[in-house]
Amino acid sequence: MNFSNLVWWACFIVGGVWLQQLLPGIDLLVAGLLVSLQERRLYQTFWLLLVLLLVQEGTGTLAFGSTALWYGALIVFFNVGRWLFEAENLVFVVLLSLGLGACHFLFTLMMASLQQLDIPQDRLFLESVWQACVIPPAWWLTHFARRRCMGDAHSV
Amino acid sequence: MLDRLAEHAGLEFVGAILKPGVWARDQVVSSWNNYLDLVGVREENEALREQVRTLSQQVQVASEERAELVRLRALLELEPPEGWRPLGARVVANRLGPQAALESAIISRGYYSGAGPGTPVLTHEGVVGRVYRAGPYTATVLLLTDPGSRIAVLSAANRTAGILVGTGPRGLLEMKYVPQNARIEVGELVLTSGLEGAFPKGVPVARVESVSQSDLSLFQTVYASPLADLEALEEVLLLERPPVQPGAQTLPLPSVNATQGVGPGTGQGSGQGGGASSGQGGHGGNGGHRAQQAPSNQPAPRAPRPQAQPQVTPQTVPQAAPQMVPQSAPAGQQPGQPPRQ
Repeated sequence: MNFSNLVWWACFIVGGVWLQQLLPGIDLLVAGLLVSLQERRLYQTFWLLLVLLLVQEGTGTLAFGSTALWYGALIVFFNVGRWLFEAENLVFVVLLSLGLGACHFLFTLMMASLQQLDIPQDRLFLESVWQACVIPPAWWLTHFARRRCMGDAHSV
Repeated sequence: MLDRLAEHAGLEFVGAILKPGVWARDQVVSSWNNYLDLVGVREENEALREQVRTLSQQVQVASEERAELVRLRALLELEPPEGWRPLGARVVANRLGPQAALESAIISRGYYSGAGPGTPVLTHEGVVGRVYRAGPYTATVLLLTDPGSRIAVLSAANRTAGILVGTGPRGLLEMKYVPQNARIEVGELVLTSGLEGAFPKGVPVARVESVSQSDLSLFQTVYASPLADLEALEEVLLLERPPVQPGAQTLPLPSVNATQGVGPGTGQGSGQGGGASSGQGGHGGNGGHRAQQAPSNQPAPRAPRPQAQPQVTPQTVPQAAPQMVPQSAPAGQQPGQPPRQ
């Protein structure tokens, strides 16, 4: 990972965290992980995944695990979906975001019930819908910004 | 005669020749001067506009700072209970990220700077909640509107005890386990009871909004609204726990380890749910059913996971007589802990 790439991802994470303040309960950084998966850079994806896990789990109020599960679901969905779709196909991203929205609801509910926490399910459902709606534009913006700033050299 | 002719003809001719030129020159000069003036006016106008913009920004900043000053003064005027050390903190963010399932806020202090798990958080209006998870310099506060929040309270006028439980975002608080024959009135202030030492005694929490009785329940249904504006938190006050005096009469409080909190019903007094770090985190608990039980060390499963070992283990016996003012420290107790770096 070269220096400019590192700076780009650092800026992405900082910007994403600031934007997440505006949308409580929504993960905007997942778009970066998706872009990194599409670039098929394992080393970059590994480090990004690690940092995002720490950020999201650190700011959360649930015990560690639900973000790990969720990002795990993203990786599984991505690898399974790549057999059927082009990785950068918008339909693929939309389907992926629907799956991730559903997983967000299920995993958060499951982890909360395992910890015997009462969480408002109607709000969780709304946030999951929002999450599914937010991923495609966030992915497009990230993808676009990355191409503009880094060129096509980053793609493998 | 020739002189007069010369004067009338030659001079007029020259004048006739020169005057248009002079007029034209004057016009050009005047236009040029006007143009230059206009340029100056425009530049001056731009400068004045910039000045107005700057002054407007300054006025805006000043009014914001003035509002902040008012809030901070109000916080400073709040007299902390004796022995509890007040620490100011800024609210950095509200619920942040996909894992923020509980009602929470992030503050600018962590366990290195006085915000250990379980630390009471309040504003000059009333109780906000307690520190739920803490990093070195940042902490998450569980707000009292969270359904897992449990605070042992007393009504101010009638001294009726109960457990104040959150009902969710922007919701009212439910005061549970208020017996059918207990007196409590709409509009009455609800204060922390100080039981279990999780909160100092006598801090305002909420105001009773409705009281109703049911034939099917042993308890009244009491709803209260929080006094603190939890939607617009900017600065908060943390109350650092007083140090425990050696030799003071103590009760064994439920111990909390790093992986499991203490569940509801393990508290003392009126069944306050939760231990020192989970007093308001006994999610879904039934703490009040065990009212008046002695505290036990039995860990219960329905509790959030605390981040670190809280600072309290033994706790001084709470005073029997209820009081409005903050609880005074036991004899010989030092006023507060030395500031931590």
